[in-house]
Amino acid sequence: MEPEVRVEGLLARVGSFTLSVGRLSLRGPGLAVVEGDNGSGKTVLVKSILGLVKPSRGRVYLCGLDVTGKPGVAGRCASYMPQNAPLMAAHYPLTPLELLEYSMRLRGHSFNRDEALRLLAELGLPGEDLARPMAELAPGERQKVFAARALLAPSKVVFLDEPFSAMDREGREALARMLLREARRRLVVLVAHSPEGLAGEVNARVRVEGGRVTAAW
Amino acid sequence: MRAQLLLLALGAGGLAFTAVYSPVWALAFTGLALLYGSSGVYVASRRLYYLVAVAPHSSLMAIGLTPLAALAAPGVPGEVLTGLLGFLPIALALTLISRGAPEALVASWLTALTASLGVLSVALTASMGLEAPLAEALAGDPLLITAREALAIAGIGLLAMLLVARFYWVYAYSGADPEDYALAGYKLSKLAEAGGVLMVVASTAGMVWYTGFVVQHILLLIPPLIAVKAARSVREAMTTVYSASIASSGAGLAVSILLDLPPSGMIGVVAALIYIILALAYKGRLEGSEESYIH
Repeated sequence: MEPEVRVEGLLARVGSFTLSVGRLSLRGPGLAVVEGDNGSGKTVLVKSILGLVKPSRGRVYLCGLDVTGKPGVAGRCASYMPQNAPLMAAHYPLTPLELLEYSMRLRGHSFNRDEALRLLAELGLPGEDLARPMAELAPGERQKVFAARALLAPSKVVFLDEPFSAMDREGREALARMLLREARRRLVVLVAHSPEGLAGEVNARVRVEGGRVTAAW
Repeated sequence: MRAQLLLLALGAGGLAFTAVYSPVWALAFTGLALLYGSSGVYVASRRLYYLVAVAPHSSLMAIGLTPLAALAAPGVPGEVLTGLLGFLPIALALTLISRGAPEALVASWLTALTASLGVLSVALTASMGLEAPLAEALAGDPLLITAREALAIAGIGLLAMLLVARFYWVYAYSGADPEDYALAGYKLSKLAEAGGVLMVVASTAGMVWYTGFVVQHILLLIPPLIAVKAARSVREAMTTVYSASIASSGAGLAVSILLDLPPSGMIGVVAALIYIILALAYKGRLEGSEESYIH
């Protein structure tokens, strides 16, 4: 059976940084963790898999689809929580619920408002914050909204890039519980320095060092 | 919502007052307000401010080149030639940016190029014994709009508003999170994409004879800035841009009639005043947002 994530001979460049991956495959359901030091290339790896960084060589397959450099195709299989949640600063007001609704509508899914509210409440985002523009939320609150967006999508693979970095303790614990729950039914790929109490639950680990995937087990 | 209603009431009052003097003016300015409101939503929500930098300069360049183009294409109306010439730099900007060129670089380069070409074309036109109506292009003369032109402008404004009402949420999401927008795989139809660009061209090169070069900058920028200040959501921002555009146009025109001053200048003054009043009214909101980063 085709693994959810398959990478073959990937070479991707971002500025002067080069990422090189020989072979990598991840199969779900389960929890996979991408580890590595700062600047080792973890985010570039995830973005290359999602087609957001176009590789100069190699192929990437998600759910059996060739998604190399094609984010619009990758999005059919995967959802994504970025490391630096876009600030959505003062340029235009956008509420958390609008963000979730529009993300679902763009993908052709109906928006389940109750489910969205339940996810946000579980992450510890109070109802009164949902009427405020994203730019007014604290960084940790914004991370909760982006985590909810990634989990709300009915994708087969969920990528979360450093999801715990700005969250408060309650938020981190709640997200960890939710990721474990999700990992029972789909592949959850977590980029994290310390996977927040999930170490014993990890099914696969990918080690990235100096722009190379050095180990995957 | 209260601010939007007040702005709408202000604009509607101004337009009603104008209609007593001239229904044609009132119709034309309603159309202009809808067109600039639509362009404002499109530009601000998609973060296409570089278009605002380039577009008015490209329309000025188009004005300068129109008499020369008329020699090569006799019989084609000047407004059509101006529109086509003004469209070229915008199309070039969109093409370069879609191929990965940095927006700020493209905007700076094209602004410099179009502004310089505008000056050179006026000089060249004058040396050939032709006349480029630069003064009219700067100030505009909306009161010379005929009934037929007013109907056309109202129709264009209405079409632009329909386009924005259909796609405003797509524009907002693509501007807020371009990466997730790419992952969603959503494609605006070619017609919708072309409609957005044509809307901006119509707001600039298309309307430069009526609104003038200066007021274009104001009406493309100030209503979105007012919306960013006063609105709390994407939907509210859209209605605020339209309200502010109608208020600036309607009230500006009415005051210009009362004081017998050029409407294009008065529209700019009214827009700037509305912005200042709302900035003061919502000062506390900004402080609240800073507070939210502390906890």
